[in-house]
This record gives sequence, C-alpha cells and structure tokens, in this order.
Amino acid sequence: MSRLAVGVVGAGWMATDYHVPAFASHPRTRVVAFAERDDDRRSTVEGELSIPGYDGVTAMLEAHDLDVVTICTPPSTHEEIFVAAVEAGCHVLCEKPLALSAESARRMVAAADEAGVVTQVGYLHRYYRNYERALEILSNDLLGDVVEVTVAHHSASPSQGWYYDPALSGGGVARDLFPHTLDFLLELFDEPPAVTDASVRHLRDRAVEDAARASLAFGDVPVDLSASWTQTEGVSRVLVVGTEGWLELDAESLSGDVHGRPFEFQRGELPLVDLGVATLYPASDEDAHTARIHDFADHAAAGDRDTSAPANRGVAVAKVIDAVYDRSGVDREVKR
Amino acid sequence: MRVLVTGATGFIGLNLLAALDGTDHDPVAMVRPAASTARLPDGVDTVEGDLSDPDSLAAAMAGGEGGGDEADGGDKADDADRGDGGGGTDGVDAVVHLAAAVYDAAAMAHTNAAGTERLVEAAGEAGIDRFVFLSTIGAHPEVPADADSTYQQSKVASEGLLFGRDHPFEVSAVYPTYIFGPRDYRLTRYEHVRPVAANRVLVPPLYTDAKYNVVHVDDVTGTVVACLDGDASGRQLVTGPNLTNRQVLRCIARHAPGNCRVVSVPYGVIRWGVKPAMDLLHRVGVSPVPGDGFLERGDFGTVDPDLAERAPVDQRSWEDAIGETIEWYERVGIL
Repeated sequence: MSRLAVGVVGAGWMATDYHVPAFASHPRTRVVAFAERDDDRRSTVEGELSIPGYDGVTAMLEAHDLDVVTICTPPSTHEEIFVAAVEAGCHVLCEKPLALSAESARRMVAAADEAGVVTQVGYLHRYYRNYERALEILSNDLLGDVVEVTVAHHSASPSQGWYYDPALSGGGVARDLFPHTLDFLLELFDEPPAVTDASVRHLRDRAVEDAARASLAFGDVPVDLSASWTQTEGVSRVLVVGTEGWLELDAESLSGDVHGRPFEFQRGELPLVDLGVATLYPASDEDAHTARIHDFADHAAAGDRDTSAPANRGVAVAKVIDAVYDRSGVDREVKR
Repeated sequence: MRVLVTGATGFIGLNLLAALDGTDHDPVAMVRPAASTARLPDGVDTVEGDLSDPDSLAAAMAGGEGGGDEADGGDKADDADRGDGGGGTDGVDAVVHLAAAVYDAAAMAHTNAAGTERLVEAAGEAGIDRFVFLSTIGAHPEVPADADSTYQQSKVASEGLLFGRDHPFEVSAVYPTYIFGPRDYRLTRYEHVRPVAANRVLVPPLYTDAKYNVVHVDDVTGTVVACLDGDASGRQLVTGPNLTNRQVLRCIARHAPGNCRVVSVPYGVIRWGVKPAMDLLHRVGVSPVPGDGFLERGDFGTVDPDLAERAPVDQRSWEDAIGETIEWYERVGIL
C-alpha cells in the first residue's frame, strides 16, 4: 500500500524532534517536504533531513502532491495554513492551540468540512497511558457520579519569543496550557462547560499573563483549573472526586480508591513487584507525542474523520479560553 | 412478569438486569432517591423507593404510579411493559430483594432485617405472586453460620421473616457462596486479583492461606430467574466446588495481565518460616506489621462437600467466573 505524502509546516523543535520522525516511522506515511520562513533554519533543516524546504505552505503545496499537512508554527499563522492545506485536499494535523479565537477556529472547521478531510488538533495529554486509563475508569462510572475535578498545570516558561506576543500567540499561559486539560475534560464530560469565574495574573514583565485560574461548570459538576509558567520543569496533575471513589493522576503515576479498594499505576502499567513496603514498576517506553501523531496518521490513512480531537474540538476549547479572557477583563483585540 | 428489583444498582442487581434482558420478565429497578442510575442499562424502568420508608415501598409495588416513574429510556419501554406484563394492572407481580448493606455494620440491622420486614409487608399488601430473596451461604440452615459475621446474622434474621410465617406469595431464597463475575463496580474481588497482576512471582508472604467456594454470578442470576419462572422455590443453594488457594491463584494468574507465577508454600513453612521472619523484620523496623497476619487462614464460602456444586440451573465454571471478572476489570481500566 502506498504511503501518504506528508508536508511539514514550520521547522522548529516540535517539527524536527517529533512530527518528522513520527510520520517517517509510521507505515502509511512518509515526509516529502517542509516549509520554513526563516532562511537559516530552512537550510540547516534541509541539510539534516535531506528533503526540500520551501519558504511557505503555498510554495510547498504547489511543488508537491501532498496528502497530509502537519502544522508546527505559531498560532497566529494556523488559520491561513490550515485553510490552504484543506483547500488543497490535504488531511491536517495542527498543533494546539488551534486558533487565536473561537471565531477563527470556526472558519477552519467550515473549510475542513467543505473539503471533507481528516483533521486533528495536537492535544497531548490524552495520549499518556495514565490519562487513557483514567478516561476508561471514569467513562465506565467506576467512581460513581463525578463530584468535582481539580486540575493544576504548571510548566516551564517557553523559550520562543512568540509565546509572549499576544498578536502571535492569542494569549498567555491560559491559551498555551489550558487546551490540553480542556480536551481531556471535554472528552470526559461530553458537553461544553460554563465559565463561572476566571482571573489572570502577570508575574513577570510580559505582555501576556503567566498565571491563570478558571472555574468551570460541566452541568452541575464544578471544575477548577489553574496554570502558570514556572521556572521549573513543572507539574501537571488532575484530581477527580466521585461519589464512590477518587483518582489522582499525572503522566507518571495514577492512583485512586473505589469503596476503600486502592489502585495504582505508573505510566499506565501495574507494578512488576508490589511487596506493600516496596514497589517496582516496569521500565516505560511511553512516547505520547509519537502516539498522537501515529493515531492521526492511522485516521488519515483510513480517511476516518472521527479523530480523537477533530478541528471542532479546537472550537470548543477556544470558546472556553475566550470566555476565560473575557471574564478576566483581558483585552483580546488581536491584529493579524 | 413485572419484577420489582431492590439493590438493582449493585453487583448482583446489574447482572440480573442483564440476565432478564431477552426473557419475558420486565424489571423495575427500585433505586433510592437521588441515587445514580448511570450504571443501569438504557431503557430499564426505575422507581424511587427506600427500605426505611413503607409508603415508598407501597408506591413501588404499584409499579411506580405516583412514585415518579423515571424510566431512562422514556415512554417507549413503559408502553411495551403494559402490553404484555401486568395482568390488568400496572403493579408488579414479583419482587427480587437484593438490597443489603454488606460493609456498613450499623446499616445492616435496619436495612437488612427491618428493611426486609417492611418490604415483605408491602409485598403482601400489594398481592404479588413471588418473592425472591438473596441470602448468603452462611444463613442456610444446613450450613454452620459464622457467629462473628454481622452480615450473616442480619441475613439469618431475615430467614424467620420469610420462612417462619405464612405469606400470600411464594417465597424463594438464594444462598450463594463466593460470587465472581463482571460488573463488580465496588471492586469487591479486586484484592484477590491485584496482587497476582502486580507481581511477576507470587509467594507468601504476598498472600495468606485461604480456601474458597467460587460460583459464577450467572448461576446466581439464573437461579433468581428460575424462581421467577416457578421452576424453583424455597431455599436454593448456589455453590461451586471447594477450592484451594493454589487453584484460585493459579486461575487468576492465567487470566490476569502480567504472567505471574504462583509459588505455593506449605502452611508449615509459613507458620515456622515466614511468620518468625516477618516478626523479626517488624522488630528491626523494616516491616510495618508483625507476622501474625500470615497465620490467618481465610475461608471464602466453603461448604460441606455434600453441599458443593449445587444449583437449580446448569452451572458455569468457576474458572469462567474468575476469567470474566478479570476481563471486566481490564475493560473498565482497573487492571
């Protein structure tokens, strides 16, 4: 069976460290070209990958008959690239956040629906085995009814300058980190939340916020979110309390209790040895980045539009973040 | 028959609702006010009722009229029930009483004995045909009761209510041993499975010596259905074979993820080797507990050999019971 031809847009670390190797290692895809605006970076990557580089998506689409376009550029560029790609009939994987606003995301969905192509937004958390397992446990009602959810996601400050320019990023830490959690929550509750309270803070001298809090209500279930850019590698943790048990997870460990019976996993796995006083877990080869890209490639190869997070998930996520900014009094007049 | 099921959201209840699907019995799940119905199959009729509230029981017997019929699947299922079931009324024809407090000792007295009494009274006044009660092996007259078990005592107390007096309906009671099967939302059997799944080699002191009598939940629900059908009545044992620790753990190891090897160690070695070793480790501060626990020999439902492998239905194998429990744990993400 022939492999789908993939064009990569943006040649930063996300592209070269994850997207290129993942599409190259998938049996149904191969990477044939990339686009990168920066001349120096483009020639460096051309040398490293031995595939042709172009200065933009238009030139790349003209030069190659692509089946898939994967977008690893700053958010302000997503809509234009995404629409050009789907209009050329390409399936599209787009890094999060999908767009600068829900309005922009809606236009992208409309274009993708018109073209009938497969789309996925690059949310990561669901591809950690602990999150996958937690979703299984929760969707099977093992905790009874969910009473409340608390999420803290604090991560190292990004190194690229565009994160701190709202015209390019669409916002600060809320736009950057909330999407991963919101994707998980939307999957769990299967309905959009109301934003009942929100605030942002500026911890450093930046044009965008570096700490944000939001209180959501999914039906009558309250959910508290917080995020910040820290100086450390960070922490990303979810606590779910139900009427019959609870669970807490991060990418590393998942633990909880149902009716007084405890359970515990690391990277989705049971221990090799559990003596009560000492526990030994198997070495993990978990690679959530590759897992999400391969999952998209599977769907693209099958023409299956029902991916884990189609572009309309990006609309739902952007709506919540827009509401968080509105509620926090952040001026989101973004000039493109 | 239209069948009121108490304890419908519990382990046996959910398995019974699955078993009744496709029979000519229409269950009405009695749920406590504000209880979650998320685990009930779609379309099952529900009625609010509380064993401590006689009025709610009378309303439930009437089929939920006035008590707030909250059928998940809406009116469609309701109409269908009226077509073939009720013998002229919307009331129920039978009661299957599964609800019991199993872990909360304080709740046992008023739910298990007093609650059963209220339900029996309401059933008598409602003029139902059959009453099926889920008991436990230790409450059967031929089986010596465990005097330390408040749960068994509460079930024995219900015996007198059912068999010590005359009723305007036929009474059946089901006495299962140690039940395994899917839909174990409370993870009541997880403690047997997890140590096997979470260790590549299982040797004492990772488990204590125990013996078991394992039955498939399908045997239990099948017996309840046989009682509803009139194919069985009175006291019904549902027992499997008596099993050793080694048989049960090896069966769990065959089905659980993780390729565990179970190494059997004779009780003498535990008594004279493991226990003193754990005592020593406890004295020097390595082990949080001394070795006494390893001398406990658990008994999960074993019966006199004459009473083993009894049920009024064709029995499923105990290996399937364990295998399907583990399969379900894996499916819901807990293994």
